[in-house]
Amino acid sequence: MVERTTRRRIDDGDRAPNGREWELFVRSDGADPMRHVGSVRAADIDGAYELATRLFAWHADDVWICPSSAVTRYTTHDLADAPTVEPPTDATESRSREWS
Amino acid sequence: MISVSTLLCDHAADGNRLRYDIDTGAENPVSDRRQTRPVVVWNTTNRCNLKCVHCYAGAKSEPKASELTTAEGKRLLDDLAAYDVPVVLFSGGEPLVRPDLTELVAHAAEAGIRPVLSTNGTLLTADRARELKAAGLAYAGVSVDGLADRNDEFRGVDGAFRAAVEGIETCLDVGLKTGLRYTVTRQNVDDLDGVVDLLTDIGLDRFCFYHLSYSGRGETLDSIDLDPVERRAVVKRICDRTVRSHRDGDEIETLLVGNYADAAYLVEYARRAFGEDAARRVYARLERNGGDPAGERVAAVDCLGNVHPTQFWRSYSLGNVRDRSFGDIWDDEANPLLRAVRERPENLTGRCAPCRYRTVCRGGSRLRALAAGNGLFGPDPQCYLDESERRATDAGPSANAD
Repeated sequence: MVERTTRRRIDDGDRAPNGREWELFVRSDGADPMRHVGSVRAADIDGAYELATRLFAWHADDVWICPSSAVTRYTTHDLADAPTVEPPTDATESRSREWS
Repeated sequence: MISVSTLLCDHAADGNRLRYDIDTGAENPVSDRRQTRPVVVWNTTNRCNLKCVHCYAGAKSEPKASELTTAEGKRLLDDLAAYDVPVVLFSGGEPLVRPDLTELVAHAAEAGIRPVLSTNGTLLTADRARELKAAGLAYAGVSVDGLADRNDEFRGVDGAFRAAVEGIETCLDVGLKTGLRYTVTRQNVDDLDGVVDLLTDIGLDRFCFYHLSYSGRGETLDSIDLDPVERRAVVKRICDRTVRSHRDGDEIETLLVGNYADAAYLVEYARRAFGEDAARRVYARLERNGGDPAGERVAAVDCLGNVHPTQFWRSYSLGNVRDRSFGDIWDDEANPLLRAVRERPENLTGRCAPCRYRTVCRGGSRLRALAAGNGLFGPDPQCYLDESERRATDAGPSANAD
């Protein structure tokens, strides 16, 4: 059985020292998956979209944007003072790593 | 950061190996290797005791909730050390408002990173300066933006000039290497020589002149920015003053920051003042320096852990160090913007595309190009080179000339 991964739960609210932070996802071709490409800082969704297009219009067809504060992150990286989340206790949960 | 004194006067200074990959002869050079990792500016807090009108961080009087804690900061420094970051610049807001600053500086030094400080200088008491020096702080850059009246108006607090000058004197008294940071605008350009004279008289010998960055509260200040003619004139004044000082035996160190049109201008200046061979040497050094450092030789981590391509590019983050290691974020060239910024010379458009100086300038500031509506790869509106300098086809500097 593969050992379960322990992660920290990063739930630090809005991430902008000023304004609001917005996570960006772009796709350059219809067959590609959306790719996270960082975040922009803007007062509202329209401002975020304007910034996103200035930065990625040369590359991206599709742009998705969501408030950074709406994302809860579970990470194995250990920098944050954040609680670890116990892995599920259900040992029967299948994992792709076990299939390879 | 372009060292005018090194390029025009062969002045040795601690940071030059990072900048030009040359043996400076300094007793304590920064690194034995050419810089392959970025200098990281860590804006440790958004809190500041001043209210500067041009603050690129948009700092406020209160800290932001969820700023990186002491423990998180130490883990960040360990992360940066593991990635071989050579220098961390502790900045803000005002970093001295953090009571744990000395502890963080000591942690950086123990991890093998050279800690340096950017401060408004007003909180640099003798005890604080001594503590920081003992902790391993290698340098403190103190911001002054004019003589007393102008500086205090800029900084929004009466007495800020006097306090900053006293802070510089304190650093000199305790033997902490220090220098001036001066952001040049149309409003304070006339004070520049007066400030340098005053600080030279108290023993300062390092002067960094910044071009205005359109970021934070500086985003709406393009009306006080210098126009190309004014910019060229002040850069010439700085060059003239540096050369004259060295000829007189005063080995001041002067640097220009934030506009890589300065690199091309220094080549042109060297050609006119010292001849073609000197121009070629200056060009070769600047080519090793690598031009505008955004996304390559400079990175920034803000007080909440967001990683930016430079400390001025606050409106875009590559990722956050609470989620992912700095090295993983910085190496992730699956991010098309990061990859494109690093491949700039071949992506530049407009007058930059055919410019013979694009390898030493790399198009200048991408942030200003975006702010001017010129696009990610368009020209920096602060470029002040004329058409003949950009397009000259006579025997110009060559990448192979040395």
